[in-house]
Amino acid sequence: MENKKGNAHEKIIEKRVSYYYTVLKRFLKHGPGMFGLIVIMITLLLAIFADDIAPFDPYELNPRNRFQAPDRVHLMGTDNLGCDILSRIIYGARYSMIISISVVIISMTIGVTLGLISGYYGGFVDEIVTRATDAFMAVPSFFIYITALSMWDVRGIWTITLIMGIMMWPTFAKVVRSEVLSLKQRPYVEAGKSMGASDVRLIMRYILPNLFGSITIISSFRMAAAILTETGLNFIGLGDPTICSWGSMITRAHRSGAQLTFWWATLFPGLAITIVTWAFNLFGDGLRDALDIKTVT
Amino acid sequence: MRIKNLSTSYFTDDGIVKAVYDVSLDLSAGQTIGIVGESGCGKSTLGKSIMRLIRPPGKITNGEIIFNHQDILKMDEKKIREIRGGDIAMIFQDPMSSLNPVFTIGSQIGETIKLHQKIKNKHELEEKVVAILEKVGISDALRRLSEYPHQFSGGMRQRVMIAMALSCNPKFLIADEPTTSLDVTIQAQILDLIGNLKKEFNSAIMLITHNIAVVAEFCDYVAVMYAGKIIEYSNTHNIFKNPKHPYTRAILGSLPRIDSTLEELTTIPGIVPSLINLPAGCVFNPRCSEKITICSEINPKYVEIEPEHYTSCHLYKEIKE
Repeated sequence: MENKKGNAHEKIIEKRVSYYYTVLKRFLKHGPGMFGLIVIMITLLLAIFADDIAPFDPYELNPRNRFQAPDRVHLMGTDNLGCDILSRIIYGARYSMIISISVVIISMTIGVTLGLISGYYGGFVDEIVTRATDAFMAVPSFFIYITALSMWDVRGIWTITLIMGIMMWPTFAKVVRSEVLSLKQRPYVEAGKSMGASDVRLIMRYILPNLFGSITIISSFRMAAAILTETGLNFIGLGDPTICSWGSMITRAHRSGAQLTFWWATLFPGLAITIVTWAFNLFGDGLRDALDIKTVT
Repeated sequence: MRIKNLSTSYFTDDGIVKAVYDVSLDLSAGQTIGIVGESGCGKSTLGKSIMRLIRPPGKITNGEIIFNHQDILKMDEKKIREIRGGDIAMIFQDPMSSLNPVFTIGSQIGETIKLHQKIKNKHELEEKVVAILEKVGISDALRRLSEYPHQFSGGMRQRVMIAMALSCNPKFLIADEPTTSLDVTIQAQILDLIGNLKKEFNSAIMLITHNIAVVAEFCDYVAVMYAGKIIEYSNTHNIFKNPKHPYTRAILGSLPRIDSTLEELTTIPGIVPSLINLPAGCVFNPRCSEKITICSEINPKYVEIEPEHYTSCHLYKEIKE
């Protein structure tokens, strides 16, 4: 199969780069997006290696050291029970990541499946899914969280994750459905059908892979939303008090009356939440710019 | 392949669009039929109806499509999927958007072969794909397998589409304006390619086009469509030397000729009528230069006026057998 003729005309047209390579290159040049990615990577590293990185045991109580201002030993000070705040933030990264990643996976699975089905088949199924999506989006989610979580006796991290996952699917379903509506009209889907592909194959091979970009972007934004929601639930007392997430740190500091006097107890976890949610939003924005096919070519 | 009284309509909010109305056609192996007509006269809908690719709000309302002694319109989903891409394949108009952008050329062609020929062996499959790519004139096929559609030029993509359509040696190939978006030199190459494959596999080909010149050169039979109907059908020689229907004559008359010294091109006055509100009587009567009274009252029957020459026009009488 050695055929090296390849005339000049063809060489000019040839672009020896794949689509995702182009996207990657564009993303690497996207300043804010890269900043977001780096922050996310650091957070993930902290979450994974928390045991090795954290200078103190985050659960170790030290009543004599309550509310110690930041110094050389406790870089971010201690809280009302004398726990080292820096260590708690590092461990908090672990819980915040576990919760938000699980929430995104659950809601993505539900939302993408429903979005694909309703967008592709249309008709009666579509009607039901669309109504359900609208209903979910119309009701303020916090009321449902409060109702659902108050009914549970055991409020562990997984109960919270599950309910948040179930509550967050409509965004995925809505975006996926609208993209499927336009994707299924594309000539290559019809061409695929004309080659004998079944509905399932058309959805899995011709439509779903083309949704990869949008799903990643929404996931990134939903990660940020999940972190914030978890914090909010914690603050109104619906979190899991036994683990140290960033949300529970703020709640604990607030309840113990830290306020402005012991500013470090609320400021640092607050900063962590702000920076990480911001990073996810920047990352999503960067990804959206890089994946924008119209400007690639 | 025999199409009998096929009608396809689109049920839109503005009314029922009769895109294909009462079309009958016969075609046997090794023959090529050209479907010509203005834009919006139902050519593509006819092609898609044969593959049962009409999507809502469109619907095939009537007729039979007999292929290999079976009615395509009565098949279940599973059966029709086996036929699509296997026995009947279609080449689409727009090569730029008819390939899935996220998979490599090799995997897309391979998928069709895998689907219809049940070849599991990866190596054997790859050999097949390379062979078919070489057949359609893609050089360095082995390396090109792992490339994506956007790395190919328009002409190359159309070749890939043809490779895909031909990968299972279809008995019937529908080419829906396969060369419209390509430049003239590539057009000739692509048509040669389709022609060669006809010779090789003795397939029947339906070529949908507005390009009369292509039809003259390439087709054995020609069907002229107007407003969803076939208004004249005959062999290519008859259509070009002895056109009967005023519309066919008008089309041929509007072609610029290299040996004429006309200042202006001849045109057909008016536009194709809206398929929702078809004129009473003959669909072509508002634009017809040879209109007689009956034309705006009664729709002419589609009859054989000479051996192998059918038309629907009040100017001609049916021959009795």
